[in-house]
Amino acid sequence: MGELAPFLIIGVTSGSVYGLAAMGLVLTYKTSGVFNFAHGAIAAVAAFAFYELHTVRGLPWPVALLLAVVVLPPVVAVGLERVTRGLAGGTVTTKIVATVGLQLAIVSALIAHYGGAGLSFPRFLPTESVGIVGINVGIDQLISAGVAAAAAVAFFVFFRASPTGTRMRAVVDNPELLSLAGTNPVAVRRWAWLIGTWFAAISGVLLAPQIGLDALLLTLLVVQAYGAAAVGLFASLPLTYAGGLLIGVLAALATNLVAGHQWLAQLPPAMPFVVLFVVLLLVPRHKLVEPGAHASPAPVAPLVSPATARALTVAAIAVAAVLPLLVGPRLPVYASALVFVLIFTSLHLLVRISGQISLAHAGLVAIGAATFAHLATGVGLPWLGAVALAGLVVVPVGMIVAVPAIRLAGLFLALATFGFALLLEKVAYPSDWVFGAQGTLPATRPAGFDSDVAFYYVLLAFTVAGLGLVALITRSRLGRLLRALADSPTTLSTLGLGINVTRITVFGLSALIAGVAGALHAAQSHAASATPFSALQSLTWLAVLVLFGPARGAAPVLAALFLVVAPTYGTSDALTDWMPVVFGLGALLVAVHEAGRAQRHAGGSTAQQGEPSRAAERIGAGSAAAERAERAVSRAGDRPGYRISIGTAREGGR
Amino acid sequence: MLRMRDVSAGYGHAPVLREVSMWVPPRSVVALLGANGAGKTTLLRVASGLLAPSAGQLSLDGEDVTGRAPHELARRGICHIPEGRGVFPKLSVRDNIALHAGAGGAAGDVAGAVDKAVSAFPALGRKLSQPARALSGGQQQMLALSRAYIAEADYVLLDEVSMGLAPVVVDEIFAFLGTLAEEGCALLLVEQYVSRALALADYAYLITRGSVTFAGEPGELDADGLAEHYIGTT
Amino acid sequence: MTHRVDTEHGADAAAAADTSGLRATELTVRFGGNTAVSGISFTAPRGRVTGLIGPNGAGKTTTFNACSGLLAPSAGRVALFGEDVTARGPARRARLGLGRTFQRMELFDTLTVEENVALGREARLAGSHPLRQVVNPPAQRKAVRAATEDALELCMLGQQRRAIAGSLSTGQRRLVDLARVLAGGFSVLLLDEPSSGLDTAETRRFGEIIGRVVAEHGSGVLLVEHDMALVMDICEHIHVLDFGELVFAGTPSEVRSSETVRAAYLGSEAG
Repeated sequence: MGELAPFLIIGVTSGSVYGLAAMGLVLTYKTSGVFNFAHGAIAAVAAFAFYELHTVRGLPWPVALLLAVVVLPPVVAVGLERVTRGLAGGTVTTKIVATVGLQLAIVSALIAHYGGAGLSFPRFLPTESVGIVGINVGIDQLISAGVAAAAAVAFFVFFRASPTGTRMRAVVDNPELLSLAGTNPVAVRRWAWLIGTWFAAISGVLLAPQIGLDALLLTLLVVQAYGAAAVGLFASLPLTYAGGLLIGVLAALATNLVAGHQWLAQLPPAMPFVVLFVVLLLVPRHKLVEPGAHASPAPVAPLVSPATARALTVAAIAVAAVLPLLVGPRLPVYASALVFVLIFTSLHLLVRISGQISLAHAGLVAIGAATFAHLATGVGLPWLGAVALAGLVVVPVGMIVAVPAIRLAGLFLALATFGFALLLEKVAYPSDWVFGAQGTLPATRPAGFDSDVAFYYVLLAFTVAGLGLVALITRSRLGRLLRALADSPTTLSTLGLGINVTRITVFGLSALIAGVAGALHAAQSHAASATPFSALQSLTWLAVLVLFGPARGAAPVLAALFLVVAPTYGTSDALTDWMPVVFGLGALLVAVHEAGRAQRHAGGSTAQQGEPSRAAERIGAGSAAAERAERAVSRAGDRPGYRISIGTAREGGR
Repeated sequence: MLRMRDVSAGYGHAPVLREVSMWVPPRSVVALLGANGAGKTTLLRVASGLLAPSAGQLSLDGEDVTGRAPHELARRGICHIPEGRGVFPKLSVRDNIALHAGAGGAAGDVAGAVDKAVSAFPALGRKLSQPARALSGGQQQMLALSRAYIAEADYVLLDEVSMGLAPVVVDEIFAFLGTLAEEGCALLLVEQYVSRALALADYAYLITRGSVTFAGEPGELDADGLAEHYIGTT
Repeated sequence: MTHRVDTEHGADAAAAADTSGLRATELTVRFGGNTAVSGISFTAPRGRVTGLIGPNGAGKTTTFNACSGLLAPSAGRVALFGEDVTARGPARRARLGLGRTFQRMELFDTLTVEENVALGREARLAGSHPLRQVVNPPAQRKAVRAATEDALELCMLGQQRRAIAGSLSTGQRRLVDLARVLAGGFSVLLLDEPSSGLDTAETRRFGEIIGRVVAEHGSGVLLVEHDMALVMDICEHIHVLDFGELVFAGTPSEVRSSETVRAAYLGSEAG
């Protein structure tokens, strides 16, 4: 025990703040049914607001702190409540994409305005150290941990004992019944968002002094709260806080254990994601219950007729073929856009066609890139063979991502894949055997196609082949099965299909294309490195793809053009910097719009969210009450049916 | 008077109610009958604001309240006890009662509400700190029904409140409904125990596939006709 | 009701010849402390329409979910053509010949009517084999097309074949749901409230379709339905559920005249 004490101290001080952030996350998730991927971004906003007010504008730090942590959150909270109310009846994908888009927009806006490099954050708390059980701990860290613990305890008391706390628990239990009892659930949810935002803001200003003012880093640090939330099974607030402490302690212990094992050096910071992934893989499925209702996707009429679509496809290929003559020195930009068309095609197959979710896609592309570089340059395989093998090597990795898809659906699947992506990024990317000791591996182009123009045509051939393959799949039996899987997996299994096989197949196919795209990415940029494939890229890609979702088959092409090509046409750097903000907000808007359509399609014209029938149809959550609720969706009839005349009550007309 | 005029409503693909007109006068008991799926629950959902009608009008004491949120209607005296158990299962009995009393207001209100609930259903008195899901089905239903009494509602909409309960509990629940009616609550009663509902009712409506097919006094309906309607006996 | 002893297990030929169809034995489903279905036993043999009726919340849909494998029963057994399938998932039961429809018409909303119906057969052919899910041999293609055409014609959906299922009216959706299981060629069909949303003519037509399917293919049908006219018209045998228990079983005329059934529907004080 004595030996472990230092790690406990370190772990608890760092874990307390994560625990607080995680409580805010779980509270808003449980009350609104929407998991806020932008939670960490809000922490960053508060930290930057403090920086702006204190360092830039020169306000005294207590005033700046008050404004950033107390005054700002209510504004944010009201907005978040409004947005998530619109999402409540949407599909799982729209719910995820909306807050992912918001996160992207916020982080990009902060980077665009303040620059990507970490600014130094004012250390407004005293920084002396005190010795506790033989180790030195900064007073600021102790204060941070204490503030977080006090906020957690105060909130817990409020949640258990105050009238508003009671209403919050009631809105988690049954929002409709709460409204019948005379309380507006919207007002209660606003409170929950306010407290959640407060907690995010507090953790933001407490973490920033320790890690510097880096929007991405701050956002990611709060992502560590996902692990804590997983320990509380995304439901229990005290356990969530305890999860924060546990992860802090585990990380501190791991730091000690892996000392001297270089390849494990990245394990301690990855501990939250290990916990997240392991919890989601091992916890019995019925313990993970998503709050709120989910709709199936609503049918969308195609924007153009099939004949027009064919004509557009031919025209697009023709334009692509003559492009080297038109764009001059910009050709490399278009070449990498082709690679991204392939990447988006693989994601499109998974997300839009099959209704699956993966937030690990950048990881698959990265493995493809690294494998190709090893095989082509290191082993010396023929170029084409190395590309093909790179694709094949990624297939089993894609199937590993599919394992959570068998157990989990919706949000928990998304989080499990995101945990996997972060693990890859934290543990695999930095190790020698992935991107080499230098962090970058040389990659070659095929002999005779070394020039940009020649290699452009190689890429074009691969891209057209990839698009053709997906088009072929869509029209085939597998395509019908995949599209049906997106609509109603339960029905498909009652018709006799082994849907887990279908899921693994589509994850494998998507991984194959992603792996090949990774190889081509490396060849195009002459190198394979981790930078283009951070876990956050997966989120960005998903957001951009969904933004162009209404374009259906053309979505991958448009997404690539806008992600890769459009920013280079900006006349100023500012435009380039602000593009991702537009993507993020665009994805948010599209998601809100689609959620509205799905809700109307499902018939939720109710004043409140949560149509009971939808909840009831989730098999397994079924019960006698659910069966009764199912009945609530009554059957209508067009026929005049019985005509009962007064007095005799007899059936007539038949 | 709680009144619906030419109300149509449904869920997405499925229209359920078609131009239904009905009214619940103050201090009256109205029984709403019909086979499974005829649209009774949907009708109650429209009446309490949970479902906005696609056409038609809902009015309360002469004022058009179509499209009002359920919590507004609840504050104006409409109390809807929904199908299933209308309780918050994870909350304690006391918290449930606090929510009934204008959602957990001042401590004094809560104490008064608890007294009222216990006076109506003494069995609840011993269970105040237990979570509602730990109660028996009958006690849960009593807890749900106590809202009508605590909230001093003018119009109480009851959706199959006796479903799945033992006969002795059903007796107690009907006794409570009788008391509510005597104290001047208007009741709109959806009930599988048709005969008991009719015994209590001043008026009855029969709806069939979303349309009103009978409106009148209970005596005008005969048991055989009803049995035919429900089971198809001849 | 005879109780034959099951001796064969899983032999397909035996299954085809076996007329026992679906058999539930002492089926119990509990949710937490609630018993939704309590020790019920019944059979839905091939070649006849069996009704399952009862008031709201009696446990009918729960029974369906337990039979089709969407719910694991707390106790009891489900057998299909003599093979115990209690531990089997819904897909395996479907491939053994059990098809079902949903009260809420779980259509593939973004697919066309034709694709929906074709999937009734195709999902079964594709099964759990990765290659079969990808490869569509000409013989199967032909079989799927034939089954689709038959089902579309039987349900009078020829006009709507290219329509997106999500855009249809309730009545048409109901027919697509039915056509889909008919195309699947299942030996036993569980139909959950299939006449809801149909008008009088459609309901009558629906009764005829069921009659034809039973007569021509020898299929068995287990019907949950609230339209008593339809139930009394097409069911040969009816089970009545109340409070999760089987309170009566008999012919339509026996059900009509049963005091027990009357009490279940109207309350004990009725009459």
